[in-house]
Amino acid sequence: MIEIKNISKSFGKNNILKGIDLSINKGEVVVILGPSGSGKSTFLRCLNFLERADAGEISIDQTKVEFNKAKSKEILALRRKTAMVFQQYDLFHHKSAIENIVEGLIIARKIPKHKAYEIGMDLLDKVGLKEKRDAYPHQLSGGQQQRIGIARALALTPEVILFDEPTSALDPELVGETLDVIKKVAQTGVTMIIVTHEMSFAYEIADRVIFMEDGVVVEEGTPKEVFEQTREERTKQFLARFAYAR
Amino acid sequence: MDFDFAFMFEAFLAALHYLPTTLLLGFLPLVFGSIIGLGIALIRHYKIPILSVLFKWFVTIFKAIPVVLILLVSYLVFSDSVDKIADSLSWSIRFSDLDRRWIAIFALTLYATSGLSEIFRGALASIPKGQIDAAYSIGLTNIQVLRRVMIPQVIPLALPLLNNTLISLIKASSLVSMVSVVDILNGALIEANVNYRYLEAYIAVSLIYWAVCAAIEAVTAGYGKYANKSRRRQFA
Ligand SMILES: Nc1ncnc2c1ncn2[C@@H]1O[C@H](COP(=O)(O)OP(=O)(O)OP(=O)(O)O)[C@@H](O)[C@H]1O
Ligand SMILES: [Mg+2]
Repeated sequence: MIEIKNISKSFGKNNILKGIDLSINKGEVVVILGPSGSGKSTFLRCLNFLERADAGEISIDQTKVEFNKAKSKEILALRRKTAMVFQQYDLFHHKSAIENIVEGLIIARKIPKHKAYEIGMDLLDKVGLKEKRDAYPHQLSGGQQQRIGIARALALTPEVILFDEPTSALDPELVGETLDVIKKVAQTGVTMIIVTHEMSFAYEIADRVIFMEDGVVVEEGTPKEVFEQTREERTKQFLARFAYAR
Repeated sequence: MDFDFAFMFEAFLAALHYLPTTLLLGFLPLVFGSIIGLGIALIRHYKIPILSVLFKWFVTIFKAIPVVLILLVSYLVFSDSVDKIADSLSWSIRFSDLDRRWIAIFALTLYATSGLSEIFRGALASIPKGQIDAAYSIGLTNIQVLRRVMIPQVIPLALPLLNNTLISLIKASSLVSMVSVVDILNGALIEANVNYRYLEAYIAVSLIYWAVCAAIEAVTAGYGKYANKSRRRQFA
């Protein structure tokens, strides 16, 4: 169970997150929708301290951390309960696929090398890239890189995986394979928060959909509620833009 | 005008005898300057208070000072202070016993450091920010991010750029006769002092400088090819 309370963040005078609350059950998949600039990335980045939120708190598994007060030890502990998948994949360019996956296990978690590589090979298999074990990021397609990025996150067996638009940098024909991997992972009961603009994917994968605008949660509900029985005018306007795409 | 090829060869051999000194004066400042330069680059990259401002000034100032002046000032400072410091610490070392090459190495290091720190700073800045975020996101500490993600990418980026600095250092080392160090230039001139055949001596030494620099370029080009082939680091 993850509980996020009243998270706020400003960049200079711009108030980007205006007190967001969210609690997530174990195994739940939460999809966040919202227009560009609404603060979705900032929200995810605050959750694992890539940005320092100005106020609010998060508790994962009884460990409670206040964003503005957290010491580096607490930040590290929290980061080790979360993992992130990035829009630009952000693999380590000087490391092969398998090395990317095991880095966190060996260096952060201090798991013995042979054990880490075993886990890594299992994950490569899971994302369908066993034969790319020794390939470097530049030798992989965007979709393949992102699947390695997902494996890197999974390796850490985090309490929650944060996906920030995992497919929006991909060529259209590579989106499918990546979404399939995410769906497969979701079925194994991993807790996820996913920011995406892929509406049909959101509909299919989400247990809960959140629509965010201007740093606040405008509407929240099951996919059916949000997509088909939309209550808020702003959500309707946003979804209307995707009506043809669906 | 007669040109004495035989003497040129003689001067060439005499100069060659001091090639180790010239190489030492090129490589040691490069190594020391790289270590210090990387340190300065990191301090400035992380914007560590006070120190980063201090080193910013250090770099700006030393970029503008001719290497001759650094050499001469270092010599004066050393000659003035070594005996005093040794006395106060009751060491038996005297300035007159000191190998002058260390003064030259000190001065050349000072000369190279500012440029080297700029090379490393550029390399640090060119590491995609996303990779650093990713490194933190998998739970690495600051030091681990530095050691595992940043440094391994900075070094191969900076390495091919170091050849320019090394070549500048080799050439600048020809000035060390001013602090009475015998390098290849000085070695050849000592030969020529006997018969005043300076032109032959100068040309002989030029050949050595040219060969050394060509060798450095060849090694760099070879490394570049290797790096391209293995293509381990590409910054998309
Ligand atoms: N480091 C930063 N410094 C200053 N402003 C920032 C910074 N990061 C984000 N912002 C601003 O915060 C706002 C929200 O950005 P954010 O990236 O969270 O939006 P988003 O909802 O993820 O949008 P998108 O769908 O385009 O990814 C934007 O106006 C952006 O300009
Ligand atoms: Mg975003």
